[in-house]
Amino acid sequence: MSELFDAGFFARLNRLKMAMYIRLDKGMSGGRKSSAKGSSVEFSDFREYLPGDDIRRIDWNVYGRLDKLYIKQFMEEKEAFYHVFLDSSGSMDFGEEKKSVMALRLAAAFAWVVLKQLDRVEILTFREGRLGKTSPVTGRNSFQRLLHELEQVSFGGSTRLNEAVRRCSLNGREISILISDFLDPEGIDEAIRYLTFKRQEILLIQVLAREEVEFDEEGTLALEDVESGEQVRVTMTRQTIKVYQDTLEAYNQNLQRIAKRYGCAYLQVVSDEDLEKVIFQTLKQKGIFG
Amino acid sequence: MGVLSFWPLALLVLVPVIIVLYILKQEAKPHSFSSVMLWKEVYRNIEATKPWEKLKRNLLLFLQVLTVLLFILALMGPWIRTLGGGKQQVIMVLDNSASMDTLFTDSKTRLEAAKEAACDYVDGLGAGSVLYVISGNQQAVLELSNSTDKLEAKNRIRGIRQTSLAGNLSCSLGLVQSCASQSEEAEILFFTDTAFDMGNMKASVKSFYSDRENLSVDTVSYARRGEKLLVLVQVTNHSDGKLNREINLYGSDESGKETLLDIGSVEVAGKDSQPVYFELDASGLSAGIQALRAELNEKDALAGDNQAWCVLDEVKTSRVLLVTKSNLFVEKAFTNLAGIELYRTADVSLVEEAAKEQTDVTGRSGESAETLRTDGSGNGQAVENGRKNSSGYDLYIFDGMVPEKLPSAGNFLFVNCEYVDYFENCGKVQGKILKLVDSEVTSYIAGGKIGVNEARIYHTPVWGASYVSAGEESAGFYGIYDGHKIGVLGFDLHQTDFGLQAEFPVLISGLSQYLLEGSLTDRSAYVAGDSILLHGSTRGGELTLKLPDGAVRKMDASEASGAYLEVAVPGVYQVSQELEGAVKEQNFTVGFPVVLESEVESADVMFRADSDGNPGAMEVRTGAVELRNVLIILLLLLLAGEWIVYVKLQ
Repeated sequence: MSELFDAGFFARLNRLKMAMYIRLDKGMSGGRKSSAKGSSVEFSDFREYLPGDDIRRIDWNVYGRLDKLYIKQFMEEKEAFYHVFLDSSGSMDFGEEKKSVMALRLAAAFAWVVLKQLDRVEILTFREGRLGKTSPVTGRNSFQRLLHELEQVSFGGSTRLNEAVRRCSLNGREISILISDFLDPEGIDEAIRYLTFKRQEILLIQVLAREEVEFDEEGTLALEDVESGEQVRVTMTRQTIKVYQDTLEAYNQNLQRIAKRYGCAYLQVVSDEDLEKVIFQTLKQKGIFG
Repeated sequence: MGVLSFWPLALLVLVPVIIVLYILKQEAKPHSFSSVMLWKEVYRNIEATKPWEKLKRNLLLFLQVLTVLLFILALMGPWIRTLGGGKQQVIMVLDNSASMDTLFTDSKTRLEAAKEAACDYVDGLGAGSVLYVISGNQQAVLELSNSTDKLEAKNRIRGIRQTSLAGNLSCSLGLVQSCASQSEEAEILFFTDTAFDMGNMKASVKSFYSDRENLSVDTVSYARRGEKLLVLVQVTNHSDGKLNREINLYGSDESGKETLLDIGSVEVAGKDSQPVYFELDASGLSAGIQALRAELNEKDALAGDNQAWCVLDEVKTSRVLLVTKSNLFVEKAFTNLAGIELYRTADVSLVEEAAKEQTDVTGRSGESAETLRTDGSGNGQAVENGRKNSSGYDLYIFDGMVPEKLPSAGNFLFVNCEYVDYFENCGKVQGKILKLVDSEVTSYIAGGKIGVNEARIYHTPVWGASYVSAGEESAGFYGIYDGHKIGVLGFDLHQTDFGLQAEFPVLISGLSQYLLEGSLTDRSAYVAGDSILLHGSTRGGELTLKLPDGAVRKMDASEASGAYLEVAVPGVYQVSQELEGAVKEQNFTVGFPVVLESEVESADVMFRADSDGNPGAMEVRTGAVELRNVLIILLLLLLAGEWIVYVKLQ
């Protein structure tokens, strides 16, 4: 295990499963029920035999009783495909307790839970409008490789979330998890619309640093944007800080409105929060983990 | 609008300093942040919601600069005119008594400051205001009456002269009331340093009292002791602290030329007096020295009281002729007095003959008049030298007999005489107790009683003053008439117990001092402002008065006899009259009114309420309202506001 994670944590994650309620009709066979009839052991229905059907599926017991040929149908089990979009811009590398650490841990946690339930997951880092893709993996054995790749993620540059997300080709009903601070001047509307269009079930996880939530600096500051290098001179008074907090609150409320409009789940996490508390309390309470 | 001083403008350098400090203070501290996206919005929000936010950010700077400006303005003592509105009647009374010559500031006396304040007040008055200007010391003088000319009023105010007279503005109340009666609402303003009783008058006072170092030379006196001349100078310290000073003693001759005789030093504790003694060799003094002057050689707040004078008499023996059949009491009493040559005769015709021929009694009948005693030593008193050019007697004592014609020169003492041209006998009383009343000749013995078997009584003449009362009439009086000093005693000493009383020689001493002094003035030492009673003889030539500055004033003999003359300038005066070929000269001194003016009760006490709870006098607002107090209140409010803003911003 890396320094980001410990074995005990993942052992506890074993008890969790994702509770995303989507019906899959595409994708590879897996551990998730799909709307398709397939070859699983779970009985689904009967239907009359039609020429061309696999004669191995004729229920001979029924034929003996009714003298008619019926085919026995079973549920088809598909694997779900999770896309974890991880913001690797410079703003994520901020805070005494860095947002990037919390984001990586969350991504790993999601990946573990997904792999554990035999689904497929891919981690997509994005910055400056580009995607950095890891290979989609499935099976628990792939987790170590995934984890290793996560540890190699570096943070820097601007975000441009909309542009990055549009670069991602998505097929059918899948699940997209966006982990970011969403502090993107271009906004996230376009990205959400795109994901919605691609029939994605969307989970927005906003990671903020404590310094962003509770700003307590004094004096006149030349605030420098770690991404763009842009400077803003602000004299920190009680009133200025109050206005900032109100602005942040309004911004977050706007995010929630967007999430609600597009049927997304939204969660805000502060970087210095206890990860276990986030996973086992907050996400469970939100119904994301069952 | 005006200001009292401009030096606080130098503090304007603080303003750029504050601004520079603010600029330094606003140096932003670099601070990395995840995204300034929200901060830009914050900035926009603040700008959008409050257009004056830019101003508000610098509100503390503006408040502090404003505070400094207000502080500077307050220090400058701004004032605004408040009287420029309506017309009004204003009566301004300025004190020009001697104490107003005291320094009020380092460069201005109290009177100069008062005149300046009065002119400022006039400047602040509205056009058409009716002005009265009065100056006051012993007397009030109406300098300007019922004038609307502000320029003229200021000229009159500036023209008020400093005097050496004692007094306060209570002397002006009558005149002020008279002026005020011409208007229902007259504004009455007193500019003075000395407290006085305004009675019920509704007036404002501007006090110019200043507490500064002041020493005064109170008196100069002398005594001859053999060949020595002992001079005593009394110095008083009117300040609180101990002071050391040197005193110069000068002698001046007839022409006024002064010679430094000696220098002494004195250390006087606060509010105390010290004598300074000089011992001079009388024989070494110039024969022409007529007066002594003592002066402090260091100036203080009041220069006028730093010197004093006394007249130095020449050594002289007075000649007294006693005309009596036998009066041992008078004879013995005069024999005991120093500086007197007493002659006795029982033949009154000798005096008559001398009077008719206007010649010397002893010169023609020297053998008839008996010389009783000769005393060549001085008596230490200031004795006039009126007879120095005459060979007659200085004093004639007529005991029970009067010649038909009295001598033309000399003074007279009538003892138990029935009738003389100069006064009228109005009867006799018997078995009565007479009383010595307070007078110039009864110092220390006033109130003494004399039991008499028989005494003549007189109506006290208008020129005389009684010293022995017999009910409503007088049994003894003294005075000056027609150039003669005259004393009257209305009883035979043999018919009383007075000759045996201790008071008798004291009375004779007092009478002799009075009667043997020069007769051109009633005293030899005065204080500025005193009235001098001149007693020139109507038979003499014109009377000449030489003032300290050398100016000469001449008066007719008829005008000079019994005339009062006011002297205002301190110094040594000389009065002279030619009488029957001889020139009668007398020096006298006029001193600074030290007792009344060197230290006065501050006019500040007039602002206090009295013991009955009546409010004190209002303070003069010299045509303007000072804004300093208002500015200080504003300053405090501003500081409070600044504090609130600071706390709120933080």
